[in-house]
Amino acid sequence: MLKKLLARTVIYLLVPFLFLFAWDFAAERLNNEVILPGIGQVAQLFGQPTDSLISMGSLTRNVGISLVRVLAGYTIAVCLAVPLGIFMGYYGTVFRLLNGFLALFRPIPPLAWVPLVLAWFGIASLATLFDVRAGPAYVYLNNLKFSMIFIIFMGAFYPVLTSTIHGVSGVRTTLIDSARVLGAGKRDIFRKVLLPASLPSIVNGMRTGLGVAWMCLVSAEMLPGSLSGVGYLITHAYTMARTDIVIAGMISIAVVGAFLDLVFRMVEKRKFAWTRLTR
Amino acid sequence: MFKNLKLMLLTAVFITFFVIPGSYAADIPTIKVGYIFTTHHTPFIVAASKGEAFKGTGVYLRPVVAKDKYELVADGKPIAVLQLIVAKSGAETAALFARGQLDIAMASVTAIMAGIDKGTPIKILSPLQTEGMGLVVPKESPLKDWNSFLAYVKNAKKPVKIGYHSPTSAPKIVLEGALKQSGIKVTEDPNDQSAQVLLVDLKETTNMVPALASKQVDGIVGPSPFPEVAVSRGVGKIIVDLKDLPPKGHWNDFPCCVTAASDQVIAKHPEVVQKFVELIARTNSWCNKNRLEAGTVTAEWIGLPPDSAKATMLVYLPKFTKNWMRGADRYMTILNDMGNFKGSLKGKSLDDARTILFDTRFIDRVRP
Repeated sequence: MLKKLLARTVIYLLVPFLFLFAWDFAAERLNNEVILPGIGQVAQLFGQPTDSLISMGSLTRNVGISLVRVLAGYTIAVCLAVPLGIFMGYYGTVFRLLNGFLALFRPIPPLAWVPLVLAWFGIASLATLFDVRAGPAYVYLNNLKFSMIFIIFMGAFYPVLTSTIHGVSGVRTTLIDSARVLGAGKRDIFRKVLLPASLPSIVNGMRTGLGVAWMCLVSAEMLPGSLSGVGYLITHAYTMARTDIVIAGMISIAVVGAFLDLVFRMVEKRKFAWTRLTR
Repeated sequence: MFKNLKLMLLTAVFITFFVIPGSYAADIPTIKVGYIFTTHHTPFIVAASKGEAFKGTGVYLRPVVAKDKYELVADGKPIAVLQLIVAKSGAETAALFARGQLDIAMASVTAIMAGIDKGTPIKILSPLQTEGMGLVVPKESPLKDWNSFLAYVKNAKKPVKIGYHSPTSAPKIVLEGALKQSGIKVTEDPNDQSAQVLLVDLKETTNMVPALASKQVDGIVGPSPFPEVAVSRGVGKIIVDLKDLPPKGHWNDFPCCVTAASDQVIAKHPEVVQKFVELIARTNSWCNKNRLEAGTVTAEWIGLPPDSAKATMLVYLPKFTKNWMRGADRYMTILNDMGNFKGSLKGKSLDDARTILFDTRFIDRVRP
């Protein structure tokens, strides 16, 4: 048993260890911290995560700001894409009405929206919306610029929408018909058949959407008026030739993204274990 | 009972966070001011950072939200709220002007010229800084100065690759001009093996130090603070300050960044524009006299290693000079030759376009 556990742990850790070894070896050979800093140099930044870096605030603060931005754009995307996807998946007419139109925008990369977004929203933020001009609330609300939220929203919207449509339209009609025969009303069918049966696909889409939302972060945080967030920190560190901070920022994004992904996987494992039995 | 208490608490939070802060300084205009995170904009950064230390000059900035919002105070009274907007480049600044997202900004003169040519209603108000451009080679290179560089170029078996960040940037134009005057054949075509120097477009200032570090180029020519950053990161050494290039004195006061404003803000709030120009002119003079302190303030603001900002070779100009205008005219010629101008500046010299480009009323009124 112990031997098995040990073997599994070794398998899990083998590749990361090899990667770290290769990194350290390469860094030592190159001896140029602008091209590749050593592991110790990057680890040092994680040792003091609350220290201010290149006058941009601490790593934790910037990660926190980015997390709020991602969650803001992502939440709006989920709130719009899930109901819309359910309608499009369930009602053929709604699908035919919207699918062609929405499909036009699907291939556009979120970054291609930047020039338009700048023209539409400029540097307006939640602080502008609520007319907050100073004080601590201003500082927090001003970090949530519409342009950034829109870019993140566009990144997350389509994966969630597509998976929701797929999930709802894929619910077996025998399940719906059986419920109907047993006297279930529209509301019951929605709550007790349609939603539970399509949820695994919806959650899977939400998981993918969150990943894409994180990918859009760096570009979103490079829009004018931004002075915070881990995406901005990475870009500014590159300007200052601080590759150690660039790598620390990348690792931070990876860790937060992996953690959020883990949450989704745990939800999938706990709540949708039944999907494995239906296969 | 609890329901009422909750409601009262919610109301209190709403008033504290939204109503009270929102009610300040409602009767003065909000002016959107763009700047770039660079040592070139040191005078503005110093004005914002040192704030009331400039009270004695009659015009200063009073912080509302650090690095984000400041009151422009003249003769003891706030006359405008300045909303700071950080842009990444001069081109982005010009684009923001075009979209009405900026009222006043600091950016390279070529970017502003390009914006004006495209029909953006803006004017150049005053110069900001000059010099500070350097030719940087790898730290371990035996090259020491301009003469050793020329000798190396002449004896090299293949074109020596020098990276620059923009085809219309001052460092590239100055270096190219000096090389040609020294009889060196310069090209931008990587297939031209008969040339002695190949100028490589690195697209962004951010790519300069990594390109030098990874030996993609043999040297870089760039504006401050990138030569200094290359030195402080142990990647390179500055062998020439471009202002010293031959012929002697020719490249002094070569234009780089300027202060510009939209026609709308000039027409609507001329008193604010006047005081802003005055503030920049005064802090320009202060920065020239207090180079170390100005460098330290900027380093702290933009996150530069302190030694790079202190080592900056920038000179801040309180007024336009003859050399500056001659350099600006050279830009006009180059941009026209490159076919970059297609609008109001097409085929024009600086003298032809003076009224389209400049509004010098404000800087002319500033007394030293």
